[in-house]
Amino acid sequence: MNIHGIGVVFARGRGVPALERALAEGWQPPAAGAPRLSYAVPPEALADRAAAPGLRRADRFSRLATLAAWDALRADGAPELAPARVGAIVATAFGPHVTTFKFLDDILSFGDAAVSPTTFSHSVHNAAAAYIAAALGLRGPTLTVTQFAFAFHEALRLAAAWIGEGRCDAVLVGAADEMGGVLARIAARKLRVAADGKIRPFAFAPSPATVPGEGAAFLLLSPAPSGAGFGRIADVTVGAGPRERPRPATLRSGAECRRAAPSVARRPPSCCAPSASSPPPSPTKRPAWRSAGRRRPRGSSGWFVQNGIASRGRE
Amino acid sequence: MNCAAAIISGMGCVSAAGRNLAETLASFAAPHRNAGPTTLFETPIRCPVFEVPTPPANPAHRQSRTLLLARQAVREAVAQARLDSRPPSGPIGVCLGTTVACQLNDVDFYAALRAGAEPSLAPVDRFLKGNPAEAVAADLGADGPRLTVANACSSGTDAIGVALSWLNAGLCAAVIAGGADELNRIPLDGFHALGVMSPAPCRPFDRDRRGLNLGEGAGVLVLETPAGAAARGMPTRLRLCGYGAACDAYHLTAPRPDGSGLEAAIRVALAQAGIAPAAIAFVNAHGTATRDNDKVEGAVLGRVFGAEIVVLSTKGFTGHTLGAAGGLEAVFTAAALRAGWIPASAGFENRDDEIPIAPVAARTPVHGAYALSTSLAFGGNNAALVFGWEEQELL
Repeated sequence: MNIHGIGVVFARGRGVPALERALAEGWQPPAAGAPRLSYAVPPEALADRAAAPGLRRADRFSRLATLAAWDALRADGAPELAPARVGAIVATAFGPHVTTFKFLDDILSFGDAAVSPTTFSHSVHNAAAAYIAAALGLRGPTLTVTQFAFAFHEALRLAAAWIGEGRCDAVLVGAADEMGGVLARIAARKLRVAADGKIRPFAFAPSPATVPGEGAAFLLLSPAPSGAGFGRIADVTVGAGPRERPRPATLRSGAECRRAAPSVARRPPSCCAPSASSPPPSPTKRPAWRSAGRRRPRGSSGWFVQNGIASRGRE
Repeated sequence: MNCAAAIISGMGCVSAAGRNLAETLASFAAPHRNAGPTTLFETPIRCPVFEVPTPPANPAHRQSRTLLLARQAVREAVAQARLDSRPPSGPIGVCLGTTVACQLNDVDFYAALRAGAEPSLAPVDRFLKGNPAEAVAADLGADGPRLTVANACSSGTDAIGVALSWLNAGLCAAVIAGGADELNRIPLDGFHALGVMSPAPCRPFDRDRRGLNLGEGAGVLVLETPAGAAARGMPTRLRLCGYGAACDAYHLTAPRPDGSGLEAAIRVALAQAGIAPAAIAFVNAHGTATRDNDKVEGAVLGRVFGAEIVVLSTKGFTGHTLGAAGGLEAVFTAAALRAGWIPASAGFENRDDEIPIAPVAARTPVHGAYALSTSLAFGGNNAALVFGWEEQELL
């Protein structure tokens, strides 16, 4: 699947330029004033006059997701797409929990029979997907998926399946989660939060410290050739945790759908794929365990996810 | 779309209409409506609900009621599909829809936090361990893809559609798919605030309908590839043939008045099944009994299938079970197609002149190879499933 657009909203701003700038500048501690110690999205990143008419009533969660999706669909070089042929999949672990707790505030303050219908309708997990579809005029399948492990990666595989079976020409796939006061209090009790706000990857002793954050990121994926220079997703492999049975699954091996999805091809499990102009690899290099009906040997690839999000092809 | 149908090798359900499929069909045949006041929690809202009367015991409340219901339906479906004694040759996926289980919405826990206390984190742990797809996959040692779908009232239907896509993409050999939701204080309050709840037992598509009743339950299918089912020696006549989904891109809670999103979803499902509208023997409609839903849905069904299409809504037996509705109605549709009859559309008495179709008012024989189940949801989601009952087993 070629990447035609990227949208990102995170603690250091909004958009690919902000992401590149943050990478160049290096680590900075979380901004003061965030709920407890967390990487919060700055308010200016959520202000957008162009998208604002569609987001007038949106809560923070829906706004995070919609702005990232907006940027991915409207990236330079993104193809012209028929609205009915564009799908959207939003992955989230906790959904719009700040609005959920606001609804609980209503119940506790005013009683069960005097709550706000607007707050309720924004507290459902798929409110953000509804805002995305309405703001961007998308009429294809729209799905919200939620779980605590690999929701985004399963969303990527589903997007490939939708494209492969001809359900969509393109799919907006993204993930969004927000930070709030209640979650910060829970995190402070359940996690070892780094006091200085710095996550130290792979520092396992005595136990890994973490810092909660929030944000949203979306990709516009399509098998069509892309001039955007974002590369492509060659493979998505979801492994098993150390206490789980391995979870092997090929991106696709059904004969009919394989024929229908020439853009999705097996690549070596490196994180970065070259740009779309590179020839697809030979399917004959598929490892034996990837054949239909075969299971991957236990423990053969650990539990990391190679999501193949590419570096920019022009660089 | 040119992908193959999936075989339905197992079905399980639990709702106010019955603790399993056999009990449910008996309730449908009677017909028996198990609506009553809310007993699961205190509420000042006096609207009938459809509670599951005797769910299995939940020692020390270590799992959510939604998960309890899901596990009951999964056990029935997995046993029927003989997944234990004759396991499929490839990975098993799990895809379940829900609305309640994906929210951390424990009122007592939040009230304590709000008061400045440091309450026990047991409700948080129950929530973190209660994701339906993750929990059921762990129960079964399922080693394929897993997803919990949170698409509001179409969650169960969409979850089954995801399963069909997984099978066609070769991601797994079998999938446990459907939906589950408990009757919960949060949606009860929310739907009441929206003004769409009926003070009396619901009357889908009726001229005098006054809104929906909430319910709870779980409905689950075991789906697998035709080759896999045949290799395991399972019956192969009952099939899931198509899935369509389309978004209204219109409003957070109201359906698009022209129904174009629902119509698009139905036509995609029919196209994937490779059939024309005339091949549909009956439609199990979403039919919530709200003024807007039934008017839009009835108009679309009349437009696509004609005014004489055989239609029912089973929500008169179960209430609106939210994330479970699509799963339950998939089970009911497939079971009715196989059995050759559908129950009366409970609650319907008087035709609405603003709606071109009318549901059946009595138990009705159905003849034909295909049936459709539809779902509409918050967020403008529309989804449709086509089920088939083939004349012959696969060889």
